Amino acid sequence: MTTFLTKLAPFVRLVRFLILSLAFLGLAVCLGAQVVVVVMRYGFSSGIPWLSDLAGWSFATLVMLAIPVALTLDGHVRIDIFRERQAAGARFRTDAIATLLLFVPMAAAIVITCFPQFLAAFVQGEASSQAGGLPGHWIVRFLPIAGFALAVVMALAQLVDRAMPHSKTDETRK
Amino acid sequence: MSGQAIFLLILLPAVMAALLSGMNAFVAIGGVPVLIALLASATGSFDLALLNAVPARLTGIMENTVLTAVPLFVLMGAVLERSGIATAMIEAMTRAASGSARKLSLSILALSAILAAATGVVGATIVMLATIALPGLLAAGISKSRAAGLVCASGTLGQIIPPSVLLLLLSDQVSNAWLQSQRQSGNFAADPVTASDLFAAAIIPGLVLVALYAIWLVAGPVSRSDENISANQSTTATNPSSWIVPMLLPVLLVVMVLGSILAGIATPTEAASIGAFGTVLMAVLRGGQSLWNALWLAAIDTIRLTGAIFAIVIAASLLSLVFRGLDGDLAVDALLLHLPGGQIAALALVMLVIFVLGFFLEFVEIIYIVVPVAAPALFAAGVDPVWFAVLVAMNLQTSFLTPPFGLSLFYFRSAAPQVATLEIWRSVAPYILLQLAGLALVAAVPALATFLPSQL
Repeated sequence: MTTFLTKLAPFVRLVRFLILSLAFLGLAVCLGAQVVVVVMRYGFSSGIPWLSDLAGWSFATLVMLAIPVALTLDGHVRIDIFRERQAAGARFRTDAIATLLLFVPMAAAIVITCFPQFLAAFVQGEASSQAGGLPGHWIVRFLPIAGFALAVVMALAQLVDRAMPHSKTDETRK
Repeated sequence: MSGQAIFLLILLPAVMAALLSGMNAFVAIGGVPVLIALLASATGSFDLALLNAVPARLTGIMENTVLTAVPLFVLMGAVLERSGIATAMIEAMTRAASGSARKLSLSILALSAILAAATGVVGATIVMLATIALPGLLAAGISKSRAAGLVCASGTLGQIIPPSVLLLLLSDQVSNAWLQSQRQSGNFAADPVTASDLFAAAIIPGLVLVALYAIWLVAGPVSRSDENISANQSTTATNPSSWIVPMLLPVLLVVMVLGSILAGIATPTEAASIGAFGTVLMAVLRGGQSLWNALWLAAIDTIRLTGAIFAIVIAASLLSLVFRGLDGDLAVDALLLHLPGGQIAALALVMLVIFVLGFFLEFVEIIYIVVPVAAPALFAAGVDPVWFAVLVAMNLQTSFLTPPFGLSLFYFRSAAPQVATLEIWRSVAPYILLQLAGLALVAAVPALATFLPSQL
C-alpha cells in the first residue's frame, strides 16, 4: 500500500503544477482581456462581446482553481487560537476528520448538484448568452466540478502525505 | 419542538465549534451545513432538493462581473508590495518626516490612507508598515506601544477607504438582500445598491476616521519619551523631491482608479483592471533584478488569497441555503421585526452581533453569513441599505483591531516580534474607542454615508 502511494506522489505533483498553471493563466488572461475591453470601450467606443466573455470565464477559472491551489499552499483561512498550541498529531486528527467527514460531503454536494447542468450544457452545446460571445459555455459549468473534485484529491493527498512515517511536511499555518 | 427547529438550533453552534477546531474555515462553514442537511433529511426535516439551488448560486458567484474586481484589486496591492514600490513610499515618507514624532506619526497616517486606497488588503499594509516604518517611529522616540497602535489602526483603513475588497463583497450581499426585501414588499423596480454607491458612501466616514486618528495623534497624551525628540534628533532638512517622486505615480494611479469609479465613468471591475495593469507597468518600469520573481510571487499571493476568499464565499452560500431550508430566515425575521424598540433596536442588535462575531471570524465570513440572514428584515423595517452597509463596514474594520483574534494584531506581531502581545493589545485600545466613536457618529448622522452616493 505504502509503495503504491509513493508511486502516486509524482502524479500528485504534476496535477498540483497543472492547477497552479491554469489558475495563473486565469489571472493573467482575466487581467489582459479586461484591460483590452476597457481600452476598446473608452478609447474606441466599441464593445467586444467575446472578449468580455473571455475576461469573465477566466475569472471563473481563477476562482475555482484557486481553491485547490490555496489548499496545497495551506493558504485557506483558519482560526488557529487553539490550533497554535496543538501538537502535530492533534492537528492531523482535526484535518483528517474535517476532510473525511465534512469536506468530502460538501464537495460531493457541489459536484452532484452541478453535474446535470454541466451535462445539459455540454449536450446542447450551450454558448454565451451574449450575441457575439464565446461558444462552449459548458466549460464554465464544468469549473466548479473540476475545482472541488481537485480540491478533494489534493486534501486527501495531503492527508496521506502527512500520515506517512517519513513525512516532513507538517502543514501548519505560519 | 419540531425536528427542523432542533437542527436549526444545532447548526450555528456546530459551525462555530468546527471553526474553533482550527480546520480550514471554509470546510467548517460549508461542510457542517451539508452534514446537518443530510442528517435532517434522514429524519424528514430537510428537503435535499433545496440543494439543487447550488449550481445557480455558484454561477452567480463565478459570473458576477463586480466580484471580478476582487482578484484585480488584490493583485494591485500584491504588486505594490512585492515590487518594492510601497516600500519606497514608506521609506521616503519616514525620511522626510524624521525628527518630529508628531509629524512622523501624521505622515505615517496619511501614507496609510493612500496605501489603503491602493491595496484594500489589511495584511500587506501592516506588515510593510511594521517592518519599514516602525524602526523610524521608534528612532524618533515614539514609545513602542504608541507606535504599535498607530501601525495596526492605520493598516486597517484599507478596509473602509475605497476601493476595498471588503466594500466590494459587502455590496454584493447588501444589493442581493435589498432587492430581495423590495421584491417581497412588491417593489419590482427598486433602485439597486451598487459597489460604486458603497465606494462613494464610505469616503466621508473613512476620512472621519482618519481625522479622528489625527486628532488623537496631535491632541492625545504625550508620553515622556515623545517629548524628547527634538532634543535627541536633529531635524534633517529633506529635499521635497526626495519624497514626492516615489509618491507621485502611485498616488496618481489611486486618484485615477477611485476617481473613474466615483465619477461614474468606469465600473469597479474596469477601474480595477486598469489599476492592476498600471501597478504592473510601474513595477516593470522600476525594473530591478528580481522583477519577474516579484511579479510571480505577487501572482501566487493573489491566487492564494482569491482561493481563500472565494472558498468562504461559496461555503457561506451553502450555509445560507441550509439555514433557509430549515426556516432560519423566518426565525431571524420574526426576532428582528418583533424586537421591542423597533428598527433602531434591531439594527443595534445586528451591529452588536457583528461586533462580537468580529472577535472570532474574518470579515468575509461575517459578510456572507450575517448580511443575507439579517439584512432583508432590517431593510423591510425601513433601514437605508447604504447607511447599513457603511455601518457594517466600520464595525468590521474595528474587528481587525479587537483582541484576541484581530487580524491586524496577528500581522503586526508576526512582523514585529519585539513588541509583546499584551503591549499591542493595550496600544490599540484608544483606536478601538476612536473607531466606535466614528461608528456612533455615522449612526447618528446617516448623511455622512448617504450624501455622496445621492450626488452620483
